[in-house]
Amino acid sequence: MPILTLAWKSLLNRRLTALLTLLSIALSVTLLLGVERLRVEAHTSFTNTLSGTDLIIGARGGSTQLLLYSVFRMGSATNNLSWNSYREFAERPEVAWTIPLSLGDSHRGYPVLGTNLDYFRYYRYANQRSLELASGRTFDGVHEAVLGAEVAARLGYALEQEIIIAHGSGAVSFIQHDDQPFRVVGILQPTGTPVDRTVHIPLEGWEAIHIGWIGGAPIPGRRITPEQALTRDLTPKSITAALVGLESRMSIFRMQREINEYRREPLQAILPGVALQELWSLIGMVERVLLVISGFVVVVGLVGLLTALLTGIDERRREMAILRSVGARPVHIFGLIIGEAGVLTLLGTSLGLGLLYLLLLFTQPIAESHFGLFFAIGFPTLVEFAILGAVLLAGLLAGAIPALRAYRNSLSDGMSVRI
Amino acid sequence: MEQPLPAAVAIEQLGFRWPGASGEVLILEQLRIERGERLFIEGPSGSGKSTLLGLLAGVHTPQRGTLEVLGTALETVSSAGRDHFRAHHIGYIFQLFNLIPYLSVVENVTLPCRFSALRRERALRRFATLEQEALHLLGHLDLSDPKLLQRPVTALSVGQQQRVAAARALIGSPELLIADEPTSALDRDRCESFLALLFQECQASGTTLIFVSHDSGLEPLFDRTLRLAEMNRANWRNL
Repeated sequence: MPILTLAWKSLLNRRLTALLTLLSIALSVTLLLGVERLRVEAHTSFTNTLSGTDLIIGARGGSTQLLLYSVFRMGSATNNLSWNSYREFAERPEVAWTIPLSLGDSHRGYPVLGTNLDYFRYYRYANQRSLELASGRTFDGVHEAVLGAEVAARLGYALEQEIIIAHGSGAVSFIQHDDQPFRVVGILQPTGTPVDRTVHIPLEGWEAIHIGWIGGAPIPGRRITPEQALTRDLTPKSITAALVGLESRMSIFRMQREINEYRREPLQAILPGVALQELWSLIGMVERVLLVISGFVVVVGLVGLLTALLTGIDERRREMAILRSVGARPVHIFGLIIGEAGVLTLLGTSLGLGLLYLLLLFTQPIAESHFGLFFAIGFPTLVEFAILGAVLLAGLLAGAIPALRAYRNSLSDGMSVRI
Repeated sequence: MEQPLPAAVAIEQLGFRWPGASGEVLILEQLRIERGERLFIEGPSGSGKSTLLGLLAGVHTPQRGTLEVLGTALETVSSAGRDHFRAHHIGYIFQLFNLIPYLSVVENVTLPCRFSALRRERALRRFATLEQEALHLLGHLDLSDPKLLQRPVTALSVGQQQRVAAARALIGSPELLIADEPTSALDRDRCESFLALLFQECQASGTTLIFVSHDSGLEPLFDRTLRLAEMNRANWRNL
């Protein structure tokens, strides 16, 4: 213990070097912990995108692609699922609920989703949380829309706003469904999922704006008014995909097999949990690379510690000789240097942890509103404690090198030192 | 009947050579230093002074012969044991740069008590705290100005630094005080006043003083002089 107070005073005497070393350790620890938090939160947020859905049905194709467009509303489907097939499966006794999804159009870059009221009733994300309205109501009429939180916030839309839906999914679209505007009747609470970026309209509205369209283009001169549209039969011919909830999870695999082997139409059913994990294993690689890089930054920080201590060792032979003369054993000399390394690393990691919380405090609102990432400011997790412990241990190991050198010096020098 | 105290130092047929070297650098047939003695060891550089001090302080061990310090045969004691022995029983003053730069004057003086419970205990016999004992010793060595004590040790003059070192060597009343040319950087007047203070404190605590210098002018102030160049039987060319 007395040797630790000596180590502390010795560091105070070299406070500039000590502070810089401490800072480099702190920043590297902040980075490492930050990346770890980001990784965990991104993963959680990713797997939280959809919850409670047992199967996703779509046209046969890649399962990742189906997941991307039905859940993340990215990319587009190559084929549709016919309304009749959808209804056939929807009415099966083992099916508890379904949510039809029609995709492909957009509003100022945000995806437009045609669905029905079951969407608001059954859609679940982040461990069984359901969608909540921030204002207004769900759609009732054909030409009504419900906006995701981000769409409303970014575009500055309020209730009663009229919006025009563009054909296709690009941010800039040349073909607009400008003959049939939609009225915003509801805005959803933020969810941190792609729902926030979605414009929801009823399937009937989706059908109405595509009346008279053939092969993705309007027939010239055949524009109709919203009133005319309402007189038509607005039952969809096809949808893009459907989310399915089953009465019992026991029937998931049988149902999936039946859909995959459906004769009348090439269909596929995927398990969203499995597909999400598959997709994460692809993009999660980036996170792991980031973690490895920040691990190396910590190593750089500790090499800085090693350098700072090692360069001092030869200059401090005098000090070691004095300590030996008053009764310090070589073991004390070792303890002094490794104590300095320990104090620096301990303070460095603590400061790093403090900086992380400071950073979280400031970035939490931004991360949540812009990226849908929610960083809980709680006690450090076990993994984070393990990381801190590993850094501390590595710091002591790094400190052992100069400490061993000082130990050897003091053995060979004894009390006689060239000044 | 009280046992007579063993001599401060008793050396018989001692021979020392550096590890890996072929010839011995120090050969002493017999040397006895009594308790409370003030011994002056004189010798030109290379006569084996530092080697002898290293042996007495328990840093080195002789390859042959006996080396008893305060009744302990140091050649039979382990390296860690000798470190303990030094911490408990020996005060040491270097020629220069005696102080730990990052400790205050008082912290420098009380430093030996961090490594020796025995010296801490002895220091606390007289005063309630180590600081009081340090201030007491510093006062005796003419370092009582509170402003001076607040200054970083590196800002003290050489003479002041040597007196702080003396206070440190004396705290906890070690039986043996070894001073390795402590006055070489001082002018004549300050040298003599330093010695006077040192003698006074050694006498007060019954400490045996072994004082090394190449300045034979100081000789008359001591009880006895040892001319190492004459006593050392080793061939100097081995050095």
